[in-house]
Amino acid sequence: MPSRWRPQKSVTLADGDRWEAARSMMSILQRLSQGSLRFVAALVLVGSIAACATPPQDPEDREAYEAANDPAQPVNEVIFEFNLIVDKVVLRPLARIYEFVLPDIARDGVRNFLNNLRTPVILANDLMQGEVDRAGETIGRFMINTATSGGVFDVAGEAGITFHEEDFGQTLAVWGADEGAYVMLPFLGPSNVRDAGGKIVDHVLDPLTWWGYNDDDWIAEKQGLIRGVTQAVDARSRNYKQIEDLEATSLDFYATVRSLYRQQRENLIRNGGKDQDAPMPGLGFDMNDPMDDPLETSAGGSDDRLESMGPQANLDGTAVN
Amino acid sequence: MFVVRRYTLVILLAGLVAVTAPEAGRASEEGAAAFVQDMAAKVVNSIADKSLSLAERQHRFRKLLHEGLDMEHVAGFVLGPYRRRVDPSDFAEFQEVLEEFIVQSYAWRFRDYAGQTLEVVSVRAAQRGREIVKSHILQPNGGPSLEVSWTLHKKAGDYKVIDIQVQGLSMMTTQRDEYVEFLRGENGRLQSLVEALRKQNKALAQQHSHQSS
Repeated sequence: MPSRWRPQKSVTLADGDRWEAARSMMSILQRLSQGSLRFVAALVLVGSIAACATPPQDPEDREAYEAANDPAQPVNEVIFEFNLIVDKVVLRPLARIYEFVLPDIARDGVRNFLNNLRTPVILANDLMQGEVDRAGETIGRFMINTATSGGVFDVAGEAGITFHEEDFGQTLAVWGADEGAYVMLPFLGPSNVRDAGGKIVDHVLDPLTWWGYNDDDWIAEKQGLIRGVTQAVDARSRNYKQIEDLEATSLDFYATVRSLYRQQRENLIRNGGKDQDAPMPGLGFDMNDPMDDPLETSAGGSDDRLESMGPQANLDGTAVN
Repeated sequence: MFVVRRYTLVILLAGLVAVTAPEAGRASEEGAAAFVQDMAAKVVNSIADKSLSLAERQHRFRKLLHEGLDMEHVAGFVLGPYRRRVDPSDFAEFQEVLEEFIVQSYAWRFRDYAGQTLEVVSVRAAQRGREIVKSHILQPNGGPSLEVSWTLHKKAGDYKVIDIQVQGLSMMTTQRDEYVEFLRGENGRLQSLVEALRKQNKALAQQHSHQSS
């Protein structure tokens, strides 16, 4: 993910100098409080205060308001509009060019390569969730794909060990954390308090972050941005039609995206595929009749296939959605 | 003698239950799977024909909707909490425009049908007598399959679809979250939603007739 902060040069936790480590952590926190994150935090705060003044009184409105779990909605909507403009002006044109220039097989190669680079973060989260089998799959995929093609071909996936996604937001959910209020992040798209915090942890967990910080090479320094943008462009190039359809058939695109984000995260947290009765995330309207929340989720499935359905592949981490 | 007979009866009964219970369960599961497979076959046979005009395709799609979808249930669900304050005549009107929306949004897509097949993977019982049929839509060229789950319930003895989940995303939940948000912005006035849907249906109809000409 593109992010403006990087740990400072002086971070070397291995040298045993506690003072140095503490100072480095402080500098990381300082940097976190600068840049876009501070901007987001300020917006969310302003939004919450603005919204707190007006929780609806009408019982139905109130129920809808609470189910949406989006107290910063006025601010989120502004950021959403901003993201849509970024999508229109930058991301979509880039995606068109990318799609035009590269044949399908090359684009798959880009995606496979990027997925392979995410191995350490996915593995760490597999382990933190106690998913030993999935951790094994992650390691196996990395070794097979790296050894055979430097990560460009998904040889392991062809052999049946399919890619799966994990991040610290999901780990927090497995540990029992609530999603918290819905948040629309500038450039990064829909999120919530839990997942946005998870992004920061994932960033720190990622060895490439530290490589970028320890190496003066420009590609090392800009790797986070390059990866983030490439991933966004790649995902966008796979989703024109779906997003267009979605927007054309939606009376409230903002609410549609919020709903899809929530459902997609819920699927990812449950790691899909498991036949279990899981309540739909946070949206049980009490109807006191058989109309109410009927939906036991039944689906899930391989994360790798998300792009065949469309928008939700884009929901996680790109500008539009 | 009497005791023995009574025990015999109990054992017989127990045996009967043991034999019939799973049988009944299986029959019902097979019913749900057969229903989904039957609907899929009807879609392929009647709607996916490439030579159909848009109007004919929509007409046939609507007929299948009436047969397989519990529109009343869906229309109620997507209104969320606002369902409680809706009066019956408004609700009937809403059902109509919602049906039109579904027809306008989905019927034309079957023009692009390219030999995909549906395979039922599993059937399981869910709350309130519902059954969830999990299926895979397989691509003829061996491309990645799509996971689609159908939530069914029985209405007057017949199976009806009440939700479709594509890759874990529920169409009904998504639609509800959208409409509830819309209604909240309109003080819960269902007429506003009906009007907005009418307008949208018109726009979609225009767009499609444009594309097919």
